[in-house]
Amino acid sequence: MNREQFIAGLEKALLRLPKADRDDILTDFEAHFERGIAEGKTEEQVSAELGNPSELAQTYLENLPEGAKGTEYIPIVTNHEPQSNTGYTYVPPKYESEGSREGSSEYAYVPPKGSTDGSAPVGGTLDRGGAIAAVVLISLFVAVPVVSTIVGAWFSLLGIAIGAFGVSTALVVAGVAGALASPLLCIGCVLLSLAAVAFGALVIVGCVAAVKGIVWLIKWYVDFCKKLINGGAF
Amino acid sequence: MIIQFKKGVLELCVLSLLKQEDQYGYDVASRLAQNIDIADGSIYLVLRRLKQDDYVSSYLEEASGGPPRKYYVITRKGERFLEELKTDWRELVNNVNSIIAIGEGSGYSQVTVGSSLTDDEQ
Repeated sequence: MNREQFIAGLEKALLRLPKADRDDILTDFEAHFERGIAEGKTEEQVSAELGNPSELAQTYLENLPEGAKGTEYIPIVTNHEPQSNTGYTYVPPKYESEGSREGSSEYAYVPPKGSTDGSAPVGGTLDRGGAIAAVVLISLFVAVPVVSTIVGAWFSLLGIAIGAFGVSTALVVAGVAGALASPLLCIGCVLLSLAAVAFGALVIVGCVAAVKGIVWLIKWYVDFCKKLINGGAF
Repeated sequence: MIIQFKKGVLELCVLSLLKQEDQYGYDVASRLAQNIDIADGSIYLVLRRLKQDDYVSSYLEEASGGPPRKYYVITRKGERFLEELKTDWRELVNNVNSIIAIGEGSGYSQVTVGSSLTDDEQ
């Protein structure tokens, strides 16, 4: 491919990176083309020497540290024959490293030529700006209404529990008041009152469990938004 | 032929070249390509990683009529790391050669490369 195709291919493959990093990398490759052409090579020659832009990008992205200082493997891809060992994929374990390679695994991972290995994003990538816009829109029009409804329902349940306790109190009062007149009625009221308390308690327990569920849901959503913004595969 | 190298080998090579002489990424790539069949593009990614780990620093030189060129320089930390890598490499080579020798029936002779002999095995 020619220079323009190579750079465009590389840029596209690196979209998930912040623009500054991406531009920095592209500058390196542009400068490489300049030098190569100045030495009399053709754009196709330089491009062939550089390798396949998608593969270069893919291996670079796979090996991003993600917070850990140390990094994993940068495989070396030759640009001659097609790979024969496409069946074998080895995913190196992620570990914290301060520059030591004790206990590191022996083999670099080489992606099969011309195919994705499943770790590339499915369904294309959104660039960062688009992802942020999407997150804001989804939050406003989907997340907020949904969460509001759930929280509203939760408060309703709480209200029902409080109501149940109120009913039970009233029944006890009625039972005690009518105890002299009719002992049977008194017993009946007390039993009903206990039933109401039990019901109320059950609803309270349900509410407590629901809180956990709601918190989990919110965490999941925040995570989802983060992934979307950072361009992770999902 | 696809070659799978331990990450350290490529870093070892890049750092060795930079220790000898500060140079542009293009020159590192050219020199490596003379000896190893690799995609030149991976060199820039290695240089980037080395720079992030402070083993190498770079500065931009404006080039007339083209994008600025990065000039790479090995750091003090990088030189120490290079020594570590060289030691590890020689140890690895020795060990592998020993095993090959066993496999070829030449017994438990230790074939040494360079100056490092592991203390344990003596």
